[in-house]
Amino acid sequence: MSDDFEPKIVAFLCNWCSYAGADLAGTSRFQYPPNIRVIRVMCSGRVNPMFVSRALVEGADGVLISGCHPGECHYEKGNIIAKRRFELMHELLDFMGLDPGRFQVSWVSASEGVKFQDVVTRFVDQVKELGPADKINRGDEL
Amino acid sequence: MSNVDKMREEAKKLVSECRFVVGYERGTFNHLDRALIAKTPEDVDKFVFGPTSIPNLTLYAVTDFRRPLKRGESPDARPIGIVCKGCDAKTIVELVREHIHARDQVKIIGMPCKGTIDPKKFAMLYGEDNDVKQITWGPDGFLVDGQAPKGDLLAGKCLHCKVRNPSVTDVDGMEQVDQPEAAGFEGIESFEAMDPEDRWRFFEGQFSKCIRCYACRNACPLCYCHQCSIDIQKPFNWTQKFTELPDNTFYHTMRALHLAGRCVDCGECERVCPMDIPLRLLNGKMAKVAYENFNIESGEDPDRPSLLGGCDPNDKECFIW
Ligand code: SF4
Ligand code: SF4
Ligand code: SF4
Ligand code: FES
Repeated sequence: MSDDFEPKIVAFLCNWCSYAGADLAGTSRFQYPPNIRVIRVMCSGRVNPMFVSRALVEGADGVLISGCHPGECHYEKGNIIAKRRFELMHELLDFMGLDPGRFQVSWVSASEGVKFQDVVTRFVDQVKELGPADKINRGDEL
Repeated sequence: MSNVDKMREEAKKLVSECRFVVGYERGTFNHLDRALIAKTPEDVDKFVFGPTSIPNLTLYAVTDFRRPLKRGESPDARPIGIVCKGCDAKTIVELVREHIHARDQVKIIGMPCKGTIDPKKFAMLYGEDNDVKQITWGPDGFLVDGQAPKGDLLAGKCLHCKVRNPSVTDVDGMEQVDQPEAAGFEGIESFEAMDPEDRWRFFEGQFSKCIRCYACRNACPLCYCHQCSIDIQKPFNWTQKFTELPDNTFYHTMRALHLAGRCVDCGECERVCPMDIPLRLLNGKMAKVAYENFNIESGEDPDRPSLLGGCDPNDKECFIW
């Protein structure tokens, strides 16, 4: 893969933890790759797993979903409900041979700026390894 | 008394107290049976049952329960009678679990079943234009107009069936059939063992064929939403209407996910698909994940929450950072 491939990554961050974690990473000046486009959602439980396939169809190279740690969701169990769906989605992508590595979920709390930096860096590397997503990309510009 | 006579007798009893009893009658097209909605004992006389009684009739109950009432119409409190094979009875259990109707709103005439034919396999062996009149169960396997068949005709789902004798029924005294050892997830596992790129090439080929007629959705008794997300136009379309690979893949991913842990493997979707897309493969994978990771099986216990209707903090996390 050529070195100048910069993946487009859609990141759904939960308002209460991961978005705040990303904010902390920013104010603390932790460097992380600028490939992510953040969409703030109120809870990771709001994220429909179909957002993942929709993003891939619309031209994303990777999708990151991040929420509070299980047990810390501000709506009690939004992330616990959601993680079952994410596991299913991941298994399904894997089964269809659709690069499951393009889809990642992580739990990042508001105080984990370092973890956020680490997750984004790792994920961007992982997607760079896979190259541009062209299997179900509709080809429109994102 | 044979099971078929018993079925007619019971259906005649039910027809007076039910809204209708839905069963099978001989179709006009050669050997295949079709649904018959019986409202009188005379209708019931036309009921048949055999290896060509393929459609999952629970669909008729679901659509009736989900039908919006006409202006001035009051809800009919009478139950619906349904002739069910084992896999169809499992559908009822799943529908009860999902609160589509209560268990006592349907009367199940559970028919022991030795497996149905796969019409597509049949057409391959005998041609689309065959004049076979009747297929029956013989002592070992099917009999095609009384003769041994030219090859394997058994529907794929029947190899996996654990409920040849329905697990729920409202009719006692049917003569039971032998229950052979059911196949597990071997087919799914051998597919999983393939190279990921080969798996995608396979699905790419299959999904490209899809014409998005939505027959699979319409035939599925568990695809009962008033408004399917694939039809939603406002506030936005989940996916475009054209039949290109990305959108078709989106549709099939969505359908597999929405049926995860719910699909009872009645095989209707795959049977009705005009493009011969192996839909049971995707649904089978989801059933495998439901069983292995979450210990949930469809159509088993109506009192346990379904896979997507429940959650558990102790669920496995296989890929989450
Ligand atoms: S799956 Fe079982 S109950 Fe259903 S048709 Fe096949 S053998 Fe009969
Ligand atoms: S029935 Fe077959 S062709 Fe029609 S939408 Fe379903 S998979 Fe596609
Ligand atoms: S997805 Fe197919 S096999 Fe499963 S319940 Fe629906 S029609 Fe039956
Ligand atoms: S509020 Fe953060 S995951 Fe629910």
